[in-house]
Amino acid sequence: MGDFNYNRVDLARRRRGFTKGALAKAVGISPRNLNAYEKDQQEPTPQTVSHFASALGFPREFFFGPDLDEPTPEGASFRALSRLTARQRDQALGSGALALALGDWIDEHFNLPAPDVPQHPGLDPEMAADAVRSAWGLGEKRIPNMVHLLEAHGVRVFSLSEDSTTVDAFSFWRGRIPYVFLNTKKTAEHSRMDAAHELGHLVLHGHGGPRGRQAEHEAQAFGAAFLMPAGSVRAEAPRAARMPQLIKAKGRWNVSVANLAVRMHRLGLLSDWQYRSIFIELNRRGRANEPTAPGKDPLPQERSQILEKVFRALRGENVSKASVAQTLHIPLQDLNDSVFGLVLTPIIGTDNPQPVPGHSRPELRVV
Amino acid sequence: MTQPAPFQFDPSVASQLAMMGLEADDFRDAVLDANAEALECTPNDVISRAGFVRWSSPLRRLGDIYVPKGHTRERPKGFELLVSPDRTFALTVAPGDHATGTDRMPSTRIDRGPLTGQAVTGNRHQLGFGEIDTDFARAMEATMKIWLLLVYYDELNEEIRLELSLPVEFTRTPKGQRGFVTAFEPRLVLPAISLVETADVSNDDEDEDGQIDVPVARR
Repeated sequence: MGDFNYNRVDLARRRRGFTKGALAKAVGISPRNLNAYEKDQQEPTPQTVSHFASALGFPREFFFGPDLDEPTPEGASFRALSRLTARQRDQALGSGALALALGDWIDEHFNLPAPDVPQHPGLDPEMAADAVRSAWGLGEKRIPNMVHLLEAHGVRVFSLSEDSTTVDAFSFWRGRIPYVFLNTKKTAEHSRMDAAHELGHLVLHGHGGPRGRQAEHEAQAFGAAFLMPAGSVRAEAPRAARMPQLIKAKGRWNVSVANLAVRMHRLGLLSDWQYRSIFIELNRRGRANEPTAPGKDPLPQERSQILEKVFRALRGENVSKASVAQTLHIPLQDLNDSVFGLVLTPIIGTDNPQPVPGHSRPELRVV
Repeated sequence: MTQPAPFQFDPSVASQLAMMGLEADDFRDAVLDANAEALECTPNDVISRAGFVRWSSPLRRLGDIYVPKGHTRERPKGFELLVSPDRTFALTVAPGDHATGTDRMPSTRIDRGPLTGQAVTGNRHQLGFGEIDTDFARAMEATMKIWLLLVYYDELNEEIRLELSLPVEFTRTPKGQRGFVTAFEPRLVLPAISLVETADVSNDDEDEDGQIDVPVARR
């Protein structure tokens, strides 16, 4: 175990949404003490570290060792900036930091697709979406699974299990690897658009590109064009459509009625009056209730194929998800939050999971 | 029916192509680009456009690559050809049948016009069989062989197979001058192009087809 590291306490604090004052109170120390730990003027006693652990719900081992790499507010793209509080943002970024630790561990033990995301900073979003579709050989075809498509092109995709509906998704480049985090509490259609939106940020606003309202509009335009290419919408969207026709047609692109209506209106396929009527109807139904065509099941939530394959392979080696969490000193619930809540059959004998041998470089058996 | 076995890429093919001033990768790129272009077709396109693009675009792409190197794009009597700088050979693109790129003798998938038949006659003459008996064959010069780049889109196996082969037999249909090229010698079989590797999501439908397989392997 390394030295006590206050930055890890602070990361756990932000992840749990505690203010510094609230944390000090929960641990039973004064804010001055906390400040002294932060400034490295004082080392907490073993008992205080245990109190940090129980107050924050992290194993005490988590608070020792080098800094964890964290996505920064400046480097990550968030939607709904005006409605997002700093606390919500920090909780989401804290979740991102834990997922990065897991991602690094996976990269160390598995060969994953190399990043292949084109960069088109400054390009018109519609043209950029066409360029990426062309580079990836998609033509005008439907994208059956956005998460799998991103993963096939080297994007690492993790889930956010934020209770807040304000955090949809965020993305960033870390070196040469692009990351996308998706809130799984949304509808599947919403998440698909979020994934396409975040791809827009990676393509248009890559490394340290512009942020803010304009960038969000561009990413949204990219996402719409990427999921619903103009040619296929012009060819296949219904004419003079009302709500029932849109509900039926949206399955062609697996998008929400709202997204399809916006796209069709932008392409001149819905009049202002039709567009307004559809949104009045959608608001009446409640935007969280995505309508489905009669006889069709709701679209299932997309999940990571990489994470599923990784944990399946590990299970074959008698390494459970809990063991990985223990190796990384991350609470199992936080790991679950990052991996789309993947549920794998527990392996007999792993009720008391053993940490994978060797903390920094676990050695797993290859079967 | 037994499945024809795919050819293993013969390294000598690369050297034969090199002697002709050609590279296997150029053919791969040309066919992949054409496939990507065909995927952009929507129901608003005429139904035959995707097939036409797959046949016609590789020749355009090959022209883009080889004309700057001294090849010429020529159309004697409307026969679309890419002619080598020394005019010893020319090539064009044709859809092949299921045997394309396998150990079976392929055939052109659709019947071809009389100019192809005359080109085969010219090829046979240069190989020592028969005489040049048409104006067209004479026009194409007695020393120019005409090769076909056969391309087959195998949707079942999710791959594109291709070969650059010299047509030597033209079997006429019962009616008229049209016919199929039914024998080739030699055949330069190029590596098949996997559409799975390119994470393609082509064959879309209402069902959950076109799934993407993300490769994950243990280190």
